[in-house]
Amino acid sequence: MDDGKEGHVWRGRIRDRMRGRATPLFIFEYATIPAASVWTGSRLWVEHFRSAGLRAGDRVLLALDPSPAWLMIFVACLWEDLTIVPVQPSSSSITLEAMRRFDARLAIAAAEGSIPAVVSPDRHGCPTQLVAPREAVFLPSRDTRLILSTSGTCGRPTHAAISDRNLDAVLCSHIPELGLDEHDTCLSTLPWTHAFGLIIDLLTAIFAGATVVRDAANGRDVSRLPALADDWGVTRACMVPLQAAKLAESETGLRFLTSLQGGVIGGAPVDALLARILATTRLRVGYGQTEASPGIALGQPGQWSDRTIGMTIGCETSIDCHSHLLCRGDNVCDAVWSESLGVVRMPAGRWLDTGDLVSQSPDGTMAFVGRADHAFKLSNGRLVNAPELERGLAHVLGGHAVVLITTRDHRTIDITIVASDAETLRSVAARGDEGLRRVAEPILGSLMRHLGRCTVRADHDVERDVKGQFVRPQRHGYPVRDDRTGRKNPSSSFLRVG
Amino acid sequence: MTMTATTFVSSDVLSQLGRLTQAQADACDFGVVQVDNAGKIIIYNQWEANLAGITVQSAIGKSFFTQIAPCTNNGLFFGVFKKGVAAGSLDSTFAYTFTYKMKPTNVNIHLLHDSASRTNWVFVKTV
Repeated sequence: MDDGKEGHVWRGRIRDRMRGRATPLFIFEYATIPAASVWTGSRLWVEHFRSAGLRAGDRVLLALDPSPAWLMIFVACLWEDLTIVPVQPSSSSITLEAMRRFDARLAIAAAEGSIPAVVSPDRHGCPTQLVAPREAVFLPSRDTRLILSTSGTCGRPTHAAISDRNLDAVLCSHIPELGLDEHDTCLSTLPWTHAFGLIIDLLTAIFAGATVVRDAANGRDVSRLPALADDWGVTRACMVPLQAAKLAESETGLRFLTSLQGGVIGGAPVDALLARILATTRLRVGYGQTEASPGIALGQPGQWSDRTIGMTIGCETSIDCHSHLLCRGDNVCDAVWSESLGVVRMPAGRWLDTGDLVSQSPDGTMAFVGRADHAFKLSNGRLVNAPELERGLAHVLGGHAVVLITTRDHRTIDITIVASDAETLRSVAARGDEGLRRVAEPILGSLMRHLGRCTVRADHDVERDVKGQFVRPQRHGYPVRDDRTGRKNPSSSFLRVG
Repeated sequence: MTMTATTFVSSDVLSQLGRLTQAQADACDFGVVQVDNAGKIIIYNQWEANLAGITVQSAIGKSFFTQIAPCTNNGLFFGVFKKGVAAGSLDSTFAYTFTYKMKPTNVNIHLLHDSASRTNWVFVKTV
């Protein structure tokens, strides 16, 4: 094979790190695979890709659960300079739709039956039948190694095109700082389809030669994590604030958190209560958007304060006169993926506006103040694009209703429906709990399970909590006059849902 | 980390570990490797040799964990072996993925210290 030629960023590193090596070691619920076997499996996938006629920059959809096969394919794609599009496994029709959206030539999925351009691994993770790739519409994306969906915190949700340079920058800046090495055992719970779980968690562990223990429940049931950690001697774990907060609710969970020698909490802001708990651990805050691969800032172990995001790492940051945090450097993605245009290049050396408002202390430590827009994140990292949802809900409610979506605890969302006149107020309230739920469901989609409160009220000044997740008070300054008294701020009608 | 073994090794084999010969090991339809406390190979059966693509004679005397199967030189495999031998209570089974004939192959592993004969064993079976 054509090994180690100049220009292939990953080949030397992969060979050095994996061929014949016992670590990194990957432990799944039903399989354990050392680097050496990931390596040999990846060679079979390399042969498969070449036999299928794939060339550098061809896009490959990786639609598998975390598994030995996933690792082999990922490594083979890096080796061949293919563009990897990791997505959640789904039905055949959704996989085919994703292939179209990302113009993928090949998909690897656990598909039932024969689907055009879709390959399924065998039970050892190795390639099976050779299939004809799909014809691509756009040119190969040679400089793009990963296409990752963003939550939209830097604007509308999009697909960041992460290059080798971007990946390299974050791995080189983060691995030494995190102090990862072959003696570490990392508990992996975050999705490998998102930047935090893939790059900050998994790839740093791989290239440090650590052992990776993958939680079969993908981190959704944190109650099982302490036992898993005990079984395998876990030393590190990355997680979102919601996971840490849930763990901290139990004695065993708290013991697990304090037992860890390291790990990164990221994906959403950490509130004061959780920060106080995390200050008793060696965990640290991590901050960055997918567009920044996603490493912008990192805290020190155990150094927590309300909404801290740590200090700049591996790039240049600036806070403009409006408190927007900007970032520039090799970690900032060079392009985005557009379904209609393919790879769209971004200006070289650009400043990335994170859309976050940040303050900075004299020692350089930054703290999240709020969002420049009205979107906010739940503590599981899920972005809630409040204005868009509010517009959608207001539209279906009709009349003169104004909708405000907020959160009190970062776990659930509250919907306040503000009526500008008594008639609309009565009309909306008459829908009842279930009626409002039915109205909200098509708009909120999967966010419905986070719906905590739905209130209907008349109010004078509706504003977001400046000290909370939200900024720009008085976006809706809708004075409401009581029809009977003529006074502003009539008493509210309150309707609780769920 | 590893559980007390639910083993694939037949009771016939388990009952005669202290007396098991190379020929008897060769008759097994799974991998049988006897090692000393440091991991040096004493018995290496034909089944394992065939799949690993090496001769029995070339394996004898070498370190199983660092020379013959270096992909086992980690905390899970060699680490468990060393701890178990030191404690005199090695009896662990787990799933692993070896590379046989240049192909990843899922196997079950049973690491065992036979206290009666004071011998150490690595049993391997493909799944």
